[in-house]
Amino acid sequence: MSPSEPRFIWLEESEEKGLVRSALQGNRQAFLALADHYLKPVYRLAYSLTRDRDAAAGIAREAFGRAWFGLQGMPEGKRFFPWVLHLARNLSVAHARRHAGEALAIADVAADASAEERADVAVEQATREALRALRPDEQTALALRIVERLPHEQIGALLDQPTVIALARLSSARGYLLQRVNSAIEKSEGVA
Amino acid sequence: MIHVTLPQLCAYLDGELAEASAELVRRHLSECLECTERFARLEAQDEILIRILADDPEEEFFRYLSASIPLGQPTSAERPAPAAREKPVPSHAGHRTEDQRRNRPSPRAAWIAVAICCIVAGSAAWVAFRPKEAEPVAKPTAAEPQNAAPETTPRVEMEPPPEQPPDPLAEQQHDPTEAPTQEMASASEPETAPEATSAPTPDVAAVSATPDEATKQPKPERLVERATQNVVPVRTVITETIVESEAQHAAPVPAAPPAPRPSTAPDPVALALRDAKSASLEAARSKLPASFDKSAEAWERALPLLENAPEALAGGRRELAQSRFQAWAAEPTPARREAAIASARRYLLYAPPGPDRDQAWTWLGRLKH
Repeated sequence: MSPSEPRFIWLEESEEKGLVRSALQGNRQAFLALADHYLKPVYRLAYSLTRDRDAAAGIAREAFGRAWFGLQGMPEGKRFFPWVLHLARNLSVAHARRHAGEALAIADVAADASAEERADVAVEQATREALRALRPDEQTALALRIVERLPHEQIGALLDQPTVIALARLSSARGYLLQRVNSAIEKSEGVA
Repeated sequence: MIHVTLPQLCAYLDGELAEASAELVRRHLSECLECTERFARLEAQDEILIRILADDPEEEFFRYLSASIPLGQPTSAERPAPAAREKPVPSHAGHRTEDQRRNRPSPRAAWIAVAICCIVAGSAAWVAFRPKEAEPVAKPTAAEPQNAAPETTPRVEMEPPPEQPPDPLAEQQHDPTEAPTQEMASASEPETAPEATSAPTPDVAAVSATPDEATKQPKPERLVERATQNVVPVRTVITETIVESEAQHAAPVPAAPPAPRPSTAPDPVALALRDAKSASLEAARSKLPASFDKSAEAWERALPLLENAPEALAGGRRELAQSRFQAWAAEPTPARREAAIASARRYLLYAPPGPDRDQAWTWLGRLKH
């Protein structure tokens, strides 16, 4: 797989529909086949939105659990993956809101750290803090692009929005991060 | 000069532009230093974002995750799940599977098990110390008949062998050639066997008839012979076995030869690592703040020894930071907070990018909050 190719492959639509139909009749194995196929991207999205491995695992688990018990409520004609991804996204956003008070501290590195190490830590810290300020759709679009390497068209489809909106989310998120990080670097250089 | 917009740069960066548009952007970037720098910053930012946002656990983690999806109880009509799903996979991120939760004993069962253990231990202790406790009761009083076997027999048991001089009369009364013959004769008749177990035999009565005679010490060799012939009443066997045991206690026991020692000294690094890991395991099991403190102290002792093992050193720093943080999380105190912040900073200074580093950032954030 080249660095520009998407990291996951969609199930064939007919196969996915068959599995969903079977799962609706109570076939646990059919649902587990769906879950096995889409578990990794769901987990990766949850991780990129929470940056917490334990929380992401719990969110992925809960998203598929809810999908199993709420499969009857899946919109007619909609694919399974966007639906379960939406569940995971909502759970991740709720988790992030619950932990919004746990703001990242200003990282002060050890006294013997080099200037380069200090700069790296400062940039990483600024990026993490800026990520928390992004809107959920922007974070999701960024995660789907950066982590899953999805094309804009698929990002739009997963966000239930046109492709141009997906591009707008991505560019606004990147621009905001760039601005915040630059200002943080300038600030740290001014202090130094 | 008309610069390239941010959405155009993003689309170009993601390879989403049509070839004609991409060519225009490429041409502009070759001419405009400002847009080139902006584009470079966007590229560098994507690299940082990959480090922050991406996490790729191993397959085992996803197998565990898949097996722990809560789907409720399977119905009988359903096909049984594959064995891989039923088998609980070791937790990667500290979660327990549903099966592990179900198999976990309830607190009530644990208390019952503890109570049973206490009862068993108490019984064993009572049995072990019963002769010493029975000693005052066994002393004959004036009102008691001298030849009462149940009271005099324990007295025989409690007499220490070195204080008992050999008595030729007793030796004659307990002729090793006679007693086994009589007992064998009684044992050969089934009707008499119950009497032998319920009442003292003449042999036992002779031993315990009077206090003087009761102090006579039978020879262990004879007792062993009786026991092997399997004709002595049960009570007698117990009594004489105890006597033999006490004689063994009283006799000087030759010191056992010292166990052979390994020729090479144990590796201090391996020992320190082992201690630290066991302390971590214990802390993870008990989840007590003091256990986490102990674990952190063990890792602090081990870290100076790991200077020549970079991987173990990195893991040790992380374990130290984790133990300090968990101790603080379990029971927050200012001292624990300071120690946790220091260890998290120390870990972050050297930690490579990845989920572990992200986790440390999370710890630091909570500690500073």
